[in-house]
Amino acid sequence: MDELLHDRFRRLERIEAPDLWNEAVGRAAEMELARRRTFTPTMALIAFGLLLAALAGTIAVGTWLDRETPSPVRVEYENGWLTAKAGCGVVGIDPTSFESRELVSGDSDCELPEFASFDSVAWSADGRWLAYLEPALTSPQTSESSAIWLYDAEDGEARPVGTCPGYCGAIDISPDGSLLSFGIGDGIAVKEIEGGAQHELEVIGLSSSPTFSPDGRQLLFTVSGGQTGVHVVDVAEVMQGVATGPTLVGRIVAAWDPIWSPDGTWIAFGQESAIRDPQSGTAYCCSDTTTSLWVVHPDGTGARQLTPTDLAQPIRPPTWSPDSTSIAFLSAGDTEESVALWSVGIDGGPATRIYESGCCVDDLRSPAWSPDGAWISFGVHLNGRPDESGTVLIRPDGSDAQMASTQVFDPVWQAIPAD
Amino acid sequence: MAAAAESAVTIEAVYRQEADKLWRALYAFAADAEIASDAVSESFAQAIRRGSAIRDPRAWVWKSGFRIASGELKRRSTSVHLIPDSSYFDPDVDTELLEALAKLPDRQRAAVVLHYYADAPVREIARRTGMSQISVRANLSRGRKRLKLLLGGDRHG
Repeated sequence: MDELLHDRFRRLERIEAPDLWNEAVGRAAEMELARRRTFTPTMALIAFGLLLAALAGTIAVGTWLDRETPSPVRVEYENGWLTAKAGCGVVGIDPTSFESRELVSGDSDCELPEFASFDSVAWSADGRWLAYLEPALTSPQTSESSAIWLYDAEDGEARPVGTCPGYCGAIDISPDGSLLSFGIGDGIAVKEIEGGAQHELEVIGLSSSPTFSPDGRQLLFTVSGGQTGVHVVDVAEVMQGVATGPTLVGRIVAAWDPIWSPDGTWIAFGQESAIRDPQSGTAYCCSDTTTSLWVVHPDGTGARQLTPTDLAQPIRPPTWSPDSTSIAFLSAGDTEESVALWSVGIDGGPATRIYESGCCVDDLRSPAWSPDGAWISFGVHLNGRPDESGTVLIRPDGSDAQMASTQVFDPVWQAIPAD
Repeated sequence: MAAAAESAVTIEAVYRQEADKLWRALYAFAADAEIASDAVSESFAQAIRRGSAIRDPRAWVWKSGFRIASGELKRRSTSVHLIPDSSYFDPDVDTELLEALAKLPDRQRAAVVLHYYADAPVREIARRTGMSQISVRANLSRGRKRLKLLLGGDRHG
């Protein structure tokens, strides 16, 4: 059926598209003409007034950049806060009291670009630094940049630390809180937070944002096309400009971003059988019936399939248990519109279903296992069932399911520092 | 002036490479030739004006085009579903496909069109729409399933 869909869409090529270049040039000229009309002598007076307003605006912008945040969040190291981007702000949920509070205020003038998703947040290993993305301050509707912000959980302050030119996808922060990683164009970048130096590595066919290993020494990402597969590179080599890295598993089509185990000894990923176009040879993702969950050591050894291809296919990046022995993942449920949460041990045992929505899933967010192992969280929205929609907390054995929030988030647990 | 002229040449080169495909993708997305034409014209007009300030014109015009088309759809639509533009007559138009696409939510429709028509991998779809890769995968999975259901499984139209 996938191939039939491709065939039907290819028929669109037969439709003759109009030549709109001259119209585009004309529109651009009209825009320029309209801009120049503002500079008449009369408008100069208005321009002076606008200049005064701009000065005031600059102060306002400066205030926005140094905007006040709510009072510092007292770090609960026993549990860590459950955090997520909420529009243009960051919220935290206390998993003991389910108290929800703003860690970073969502500015009232913040405007997310259409289709935009700035949901990426990442904690340093000591639970102090939270990196997240926001639209760049200028021209948010057509901006091709994202602003990188850093929140300090100790004093509750947030500050901008740079931008991602172009679309940079998800952002990650090194365990020691000194480096950021993100995708740029056809490559990856490592940015020093202090000093702002940025080091880049060209990766042809990059298809996932890079993530730091738990020891901070390696970056993990996937490539689609060319050297298709899961890749690991040395952070120091990227910063020195001499990076190379092995392809971990042969030519696979990865279903979603690979995930480090908390102890750094495994990488989990979804593997799909590629469907190849007989004419072009291009590999297409995906066949819905042949996705399976795999793990492999970072050196490429020990590759192991954890779920059979006809079991519930993982449709989201999974989450590791804090002891690195189990993986929880969301997948298709019993019905066309339902989803289920499963848990499987890396020792090869059968997967266990923890949660079944029963129906009508409209939105779904990746699961996250708490650092103390007590909870698994995920976001779900069920059409027509607001009381069952929001950010769910559930025990790993499937018991005690409850709503941490009525809002649907991509939850990320604040790290708990090692003793 | 020289820089502006060079920039215009670059944008025109991008136009020659991308505009037809972008128009067809937007036509499939919006089910409306007028919206597709307006979005393509406007996105390239803005690209011409911004010139060298745009780092990746190709990705920029796709993202801008889908943003403009989506905004226009929201402005025009008061009904739940789109109705394919029957006034744009072309014998090669797969009306059954367009009608099925029109029944998908915006994000699913965008992901499906970019995947099946533009052959874009997930990350490229994310770049062109501004969605996260997670959102792209979810919308692509659900959109694909819904399309299969609407088009009758293995029946080939």
